[in-house]
Amino acid sequence: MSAAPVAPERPAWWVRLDWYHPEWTLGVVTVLAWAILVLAHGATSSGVVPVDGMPAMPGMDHGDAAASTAPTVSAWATGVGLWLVMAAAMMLPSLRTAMRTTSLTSRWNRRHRAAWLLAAGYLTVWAIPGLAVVTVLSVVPWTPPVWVTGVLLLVAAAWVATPVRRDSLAACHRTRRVPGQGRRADAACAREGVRLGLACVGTCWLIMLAATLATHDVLLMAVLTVVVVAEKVVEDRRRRLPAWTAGTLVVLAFGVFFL
Amino acid sequence: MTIVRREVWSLENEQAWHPILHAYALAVQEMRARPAHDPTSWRYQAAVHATTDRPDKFRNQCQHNSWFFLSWHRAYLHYFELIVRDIVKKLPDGEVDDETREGWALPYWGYDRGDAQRVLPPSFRQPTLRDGVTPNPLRIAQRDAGINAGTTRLTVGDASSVAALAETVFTSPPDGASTAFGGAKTPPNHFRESQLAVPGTLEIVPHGQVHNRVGPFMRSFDTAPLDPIFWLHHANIDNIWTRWGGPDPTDTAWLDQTFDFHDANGTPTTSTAEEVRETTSLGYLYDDAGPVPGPLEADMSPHERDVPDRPAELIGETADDITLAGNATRAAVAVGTPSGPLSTAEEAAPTRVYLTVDDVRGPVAPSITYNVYLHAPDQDPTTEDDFFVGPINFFGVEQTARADTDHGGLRFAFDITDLYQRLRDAGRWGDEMTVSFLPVEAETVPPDQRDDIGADQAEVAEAATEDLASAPVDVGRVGVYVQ
Repeated sequence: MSAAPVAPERPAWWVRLDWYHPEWTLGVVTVLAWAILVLAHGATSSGVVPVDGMPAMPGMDHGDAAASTAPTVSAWATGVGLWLVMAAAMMLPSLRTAMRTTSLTSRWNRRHRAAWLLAAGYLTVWAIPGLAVVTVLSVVPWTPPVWVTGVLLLVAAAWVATPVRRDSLAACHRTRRVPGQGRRADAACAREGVRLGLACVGTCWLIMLAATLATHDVLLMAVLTVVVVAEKVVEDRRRRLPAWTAGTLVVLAFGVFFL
Repeated sequence: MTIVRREVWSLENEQAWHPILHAYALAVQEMRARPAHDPTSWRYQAAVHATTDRPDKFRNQCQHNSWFFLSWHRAYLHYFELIVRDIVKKLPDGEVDDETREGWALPYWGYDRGDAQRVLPPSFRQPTLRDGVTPNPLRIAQRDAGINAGTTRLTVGDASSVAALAETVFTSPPDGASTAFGGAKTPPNHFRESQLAVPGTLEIVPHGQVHNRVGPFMRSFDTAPLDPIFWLHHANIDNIWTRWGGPDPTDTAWLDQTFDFHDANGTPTTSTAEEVRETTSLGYLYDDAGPVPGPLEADMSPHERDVPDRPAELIGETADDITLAGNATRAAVAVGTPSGPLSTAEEAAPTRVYLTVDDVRGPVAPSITYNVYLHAPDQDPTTEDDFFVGPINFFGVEQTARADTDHGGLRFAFDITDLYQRLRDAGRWGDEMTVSFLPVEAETVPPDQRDDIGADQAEVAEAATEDLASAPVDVGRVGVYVQ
């Protein structure tokens, strides 16, 4: 009498997580980026760091302490770094679908490499407006009044209705299969990240600018992140999302004006 | 009362202008006369499938590349059938008999049943209705000339339901490679919102193949339902679902998903997959029951192996874009060995092997399709079938050229486990394989089998068909996955 076949042992949950959701590393990086933002916000609120609020940019007038602070290279570099942390916290989660798709359709031993090369290309694009904003604020000290953020949010809501924004968002949703091996594959992943980054800037530049100028408001940044991620990641009834986005941005704008 | 949907050629063989088809033609005529904003109009019903004009929760809602493909289209056909039947009931006595009036049911085009059925039915080619004067609403000019003339027909490969019926699971995880009968498990997916989804085997063939072969309206998402044969084609797809022996999903995400339609009065209504899972729940049956094996172009044996609980892993791919422009085209596929879960699995060989054709893009669908082969030793038609992977078609490819849509290109996945095994056994599976795309045109109907119906009007569309035949499309990548 032969023995009954033994079912193969089911791998541990974390093994299966890596099998089916290789983009889990994105979650780790996002959590770290938000932790830095929140900690930095706490530090600046308590006066430990002279730059008041996150992501406060060097040169921005942040009250008495900052008003006397002359722009320095280190402050500029810190500003750029903080911008990238903010971009990672707010924008990288929206890359989840693209990173997962690229991972699962790449050679197994390149899954994480492919996804993070894509993310690197994406963040490189976001670094460019960051450099511009930080540089401008370094040489032109300015504390934006709160209403500026509100106006930007209203303009962002109007931007949602434009064909350019609609096409940019559609481009954010598109993914392409990349070559499997070698430098050609690396380059293709980075190029795909750059393409997605450009599409994302076209979609979210006003939202990001509003978040940047709302120097004291981590909560606003969190809500805007949810809006951005929803538009990029949610597949179910996607065409309704722009209306929700515009409505949310209007509500946030009025919140900024009146709260 | 349960109505019976009958095969259209059986109606045609009973009599020319069978009352069911005559009533359908008159109903189409009536629907065309209704204003586009009327939910029971011809144009509105087409827009329910796809449109760029003010899409809402009713319009632009067709489901493809998804496990909702079958359930959504069944509900779509059901409400369309209610609208047509309502019109048929009100037709004058001289135009329709009482039996037809009470029991009108949408016929289906059973092209997977034999050579004769692969020809477009005569009622869709006749220039006029049975009075010999009124232009026939079932004949439209926007079809390929030979199809409309009855001089060409679907190929055996276009019409075959064998590969679909051989699938043992309804759905697959959206992993970019796994095949299934009904499509990948996705949220509602109009076209390609879900970036990892591939169409179910039934959606590729015969569904997409028949769309591609019939003509320019049928090849486009926005215009396909404007061809009256669309509805009979999808009734056959629905019929194949009823003949499939596998279990439908029991997942609440599938069962409870709602979709919006209008009934015969133009009143908004909703449907769920659970409500449409049984055709008797909707009040209809088909005139046949059980699997009907069709002729095979290739040896596609049933996939009776289990789907392993591990992800499919890419082990090979082409390096560059491939342009298909009407000629036989070959490309190298660099193949490696698995380094993922399969490399540590107890079994030595993969349980399943898939070949994917990804990111197919182009501004317009060519009228030809392509058969895909893996490592065929030559282009001798007598040997190629041993290396046949599957057919690719271009239904909806025009959507990929639009900036405002979400998709990067059409995607196809084929189970090539048997082919992989044959190549392994023959010592021909290596680190560089060749994938071939061979163009396939509509099959010429032998002269002694033609009925000449509609042939006199064929020349009008001939030139346009020729222009479209080799319209170029790009393939982004061909991949080989093991699981």
